[in-house]
Amino acid sequence: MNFNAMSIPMEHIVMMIVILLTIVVILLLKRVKGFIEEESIAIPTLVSPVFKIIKLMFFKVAISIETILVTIAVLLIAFTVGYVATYTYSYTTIDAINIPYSYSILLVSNSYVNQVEELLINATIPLDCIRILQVFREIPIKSSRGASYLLPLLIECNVHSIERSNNILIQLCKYVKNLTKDNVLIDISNRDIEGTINVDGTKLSVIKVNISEYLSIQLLPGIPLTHTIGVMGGSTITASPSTITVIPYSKDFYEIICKNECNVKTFFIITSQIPDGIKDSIVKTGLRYFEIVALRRNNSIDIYSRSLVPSTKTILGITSSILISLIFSISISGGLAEKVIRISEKLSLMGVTYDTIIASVSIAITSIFAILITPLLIILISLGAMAGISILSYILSATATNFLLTYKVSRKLKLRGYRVLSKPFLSINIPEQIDSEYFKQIVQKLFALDDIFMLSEVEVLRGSEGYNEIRIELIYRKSFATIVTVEVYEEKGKDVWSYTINVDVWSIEELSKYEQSKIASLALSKVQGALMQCITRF
Amino acid sequence: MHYKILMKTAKYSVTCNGFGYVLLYTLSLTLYITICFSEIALFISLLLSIMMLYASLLSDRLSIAQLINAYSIVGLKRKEIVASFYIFANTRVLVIAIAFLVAYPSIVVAFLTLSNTFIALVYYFTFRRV
Repeated sequence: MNFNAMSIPMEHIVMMIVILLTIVVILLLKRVKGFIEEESIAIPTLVSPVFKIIKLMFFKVAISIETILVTIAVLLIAFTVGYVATYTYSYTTIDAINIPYSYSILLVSNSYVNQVEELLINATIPLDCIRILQVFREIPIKSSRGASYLLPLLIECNVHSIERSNNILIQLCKYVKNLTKDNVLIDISNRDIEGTINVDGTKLSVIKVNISEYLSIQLLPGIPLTHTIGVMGGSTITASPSTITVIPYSKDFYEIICKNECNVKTFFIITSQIPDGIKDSIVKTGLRYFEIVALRRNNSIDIYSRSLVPSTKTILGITSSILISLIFSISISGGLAEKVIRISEKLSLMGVTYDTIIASVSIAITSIFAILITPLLIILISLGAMAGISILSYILSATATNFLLTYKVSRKLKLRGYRVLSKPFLSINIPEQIDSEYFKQIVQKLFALDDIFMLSEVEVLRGSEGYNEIRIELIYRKSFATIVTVEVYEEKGKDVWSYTINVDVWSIEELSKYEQSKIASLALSKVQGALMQCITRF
Repeated sequence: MHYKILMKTAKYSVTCNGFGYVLLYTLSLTLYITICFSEIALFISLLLSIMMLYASLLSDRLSIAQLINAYSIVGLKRKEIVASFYIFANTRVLVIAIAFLVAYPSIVVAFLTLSNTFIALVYYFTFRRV
């Protein structure tokens, strides 16, 4: 068994043991402490009432099936988006009219890259390629005029048809190919150096050629062939051709120059034409080893960089996932609002304002989403999926859902549920007693023509003390099996007769409180009308 | 008589709020599965569809309760009420099934079976009158 793969780091074991020991010690101390005879006086903790309300709301909202459904939906969608997301390399296209046509593909890396030719190019097609290494290490030179330095430019040419080509880089290769192992090229403008130079104990003989025109070319805007010394005001400053020595590349020589570590920039240039079919695969493989891949088309260059951006498909996927979670929250908001309304009616009696209720609902939903991001992260990390896009999708849809749910709930609260509806009740005082039989007739006449209520029953009950009680039963026409019972109580004060009207609504329909109260007030107004008609007779 | 109940229930299901949400969901689901097509996405969209069905039934809870009340007053048998609930929910199931039919037809049967089992559970736990 491979024990290494299964082993847990030592620090973790120690930490676990320490935690366990601490728990055991705490438990033992609690046991050993014993009991104190006298009762300890509990210090009342001051908890803000707002906090209590928010806590109450949080549990009410968090435990409801609606919120659970929405959060699960958002989580699931975020997870899938991460799983199916695809990425493309970011790229820009630049105009290449001013850049000489010296390559078809250029790969640039800020470190030493060795032996990638086989990986990049199929062996079946022999391609011309040039490798240039800019080594940022000065070779000190002592000459008769004083001390100076040279910057090495290592070039390796794998070019098959040097003679025929008029490509500027291949022209440079011509010089490099003619060099032997102990020769280096130096531009003719350098007058300090003559004969030989000494590079870490290796003597190299110098050949002076006019190579300044080759060295001064720009491969890409801002990326010259020679060493970049610095950048000033947006333009790059390059080493002058006189301080550069061109050396044919060999691994041994590279190791001599870069004994320990040195900064190297690698250019890999493919000069021959490449069929379109393998361009994509070269870009894909190239970006594994190089920072920049430039693809030459006729009058433009596509520059690919290593940074990944989500493809159009992924962005559409995220959009649709946000849409789905929004639809979920719309369809569910009704149920959630009902629950919040039920509790807010009770809270409003205690003086809690509408804004506090809405704020606590919003806080509750936000904290649920904030808590649930942890399992998503754990799942994503354990599966090794790309977590970035999932988290983005989660945050976007959670924010949208939160906003929509809070908006819907607040609107519903504002519309109806929040107001405490008083029970329909009316009291009328008149100097004389009304004739109950006449009142009965009026009620019958009134409701015979009514298009909202249908009279089912009207009866006068005579109480023991001579006071009447009139009961009217109405059927609400616009709804299914909704009955309104109106009771009119008669009472005698010192010198006035007082008539109190009470209304009750009964329905087998799932009517809301608001609708019920509206039906009741309608009935109340009708009965009041009948009563007033009785009074005006006198 | 049965035909009349069927037509009335289906019509009622279409006019309720939840149907609009289901329609919107179907549109975005079609977009989602056709773009992000993979087996995991398909499995999760199956789960999501059943959740959406439940969400739409929840948003029409009052209307469904009223429908069942009305049918029981009119004198329908319990079996007929259950059947009418099935028709009510299946009108929505069929709409969601269109999304699967467009993107991945072989999963439609699985979706129908799963959702109808789910409808039975919803009826038993939420709308059953003892």
